Amino acid sequence: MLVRLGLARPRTFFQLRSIVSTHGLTRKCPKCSSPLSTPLPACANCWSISAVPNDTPYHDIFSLPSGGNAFKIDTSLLKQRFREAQSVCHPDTWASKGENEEEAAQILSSLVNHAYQTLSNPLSRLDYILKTNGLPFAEDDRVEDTDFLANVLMMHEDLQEAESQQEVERIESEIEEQMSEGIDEVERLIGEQKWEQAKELGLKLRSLEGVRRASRNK
Amino acid sequence: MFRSAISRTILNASRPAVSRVTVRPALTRAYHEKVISHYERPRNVGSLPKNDIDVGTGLVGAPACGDVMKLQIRVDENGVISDVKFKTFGCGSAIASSSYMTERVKGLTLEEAGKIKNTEIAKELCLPPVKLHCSMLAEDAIRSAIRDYRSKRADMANPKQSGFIDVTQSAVTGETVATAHPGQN
Repeated sequence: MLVRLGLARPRTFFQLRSIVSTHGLTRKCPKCSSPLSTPLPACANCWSISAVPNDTPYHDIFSLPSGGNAFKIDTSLLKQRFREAQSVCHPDTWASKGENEEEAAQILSSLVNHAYQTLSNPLSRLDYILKTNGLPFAEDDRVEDTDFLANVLMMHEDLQEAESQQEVERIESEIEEQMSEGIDEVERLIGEQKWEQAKELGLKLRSLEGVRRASRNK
Repeated sequence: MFRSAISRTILNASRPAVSRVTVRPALTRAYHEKVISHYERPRNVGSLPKNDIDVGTGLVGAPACGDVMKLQIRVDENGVISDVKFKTFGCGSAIASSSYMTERVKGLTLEEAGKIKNTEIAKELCLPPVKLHCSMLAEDAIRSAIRDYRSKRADMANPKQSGFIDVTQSAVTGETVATAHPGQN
């Protein structure tokens, strides 16, 4: 498959390992020990860079507190930290520093992107937090609350039958209102480490997300 | 309103996950013609009056895809499904799975309908592995509709008695006796 598409053969684990740092995230260059501006092992002093393991906690990548309430995130701080992180590991910066450096920068940078996307969206953030606490969303998860489902179904129907932009907007604002209430509640539940309940509520939020998606396609 | 709706069920433990049989992965195309046919011309779309005593309603939601599925059956006096309607909001495979299910269960007894496995739907529609959960949703929907119908009938067979007073008069003595039967609830 890869060969047919003309892609390079993926590196083996041993090749990859040489560019993955095992130092964890310290604010010190593992090579020259000079202080780093971000937790990422990318040093502009000795121009050494290494990737970090994929399971590096996303909060750590942006130096966000993960103890306490991992769901509660200062989004403007996250954005700022993301820009800083991206600027130290951008593959363009490392392209001229050698093949290993460029590849490490690519791995690091895509992890940073993914971590940012995950943490900035409340639903994927919840998904991530639940996963790290052993309760990931699964395909056979079901919303059990039939009253809630009937309400979701009704919103879908209203949306389908909506004839004016105002009607669509009215439904959209109802979705937004319910979602924001739900997200506040999720934050409270995560703070109290009520994972099961947070997950159940997360499933409902995902159903609402389904209505939101439908309204965008309207 | 949302808060009360969510907090109510938050306290209910979710049911245990049901293990599913996976089917052989479908080849090549993501959407088979049969899926497309059921998606473009879904059969039996609509609703039945959910308060009718001979109607069972199954309402299921699988948030992985944001899918919501409603499947309703009308059952005749012989316990045979005489009419089926569905409404599904979700991806093409979810719509096709429920449309296929409605065609499949019409004319079956409840027992037969309850035995239909998601693997059959997946195989028939050539669903790719990533869409297997859509067929599981259709299986859940028919079972939930059957359950709803049965619990309605059970309620009807054993209604909560309202209170009444039994008054009798003896034809011989002319004596009148009134006995109170208080309601059970």
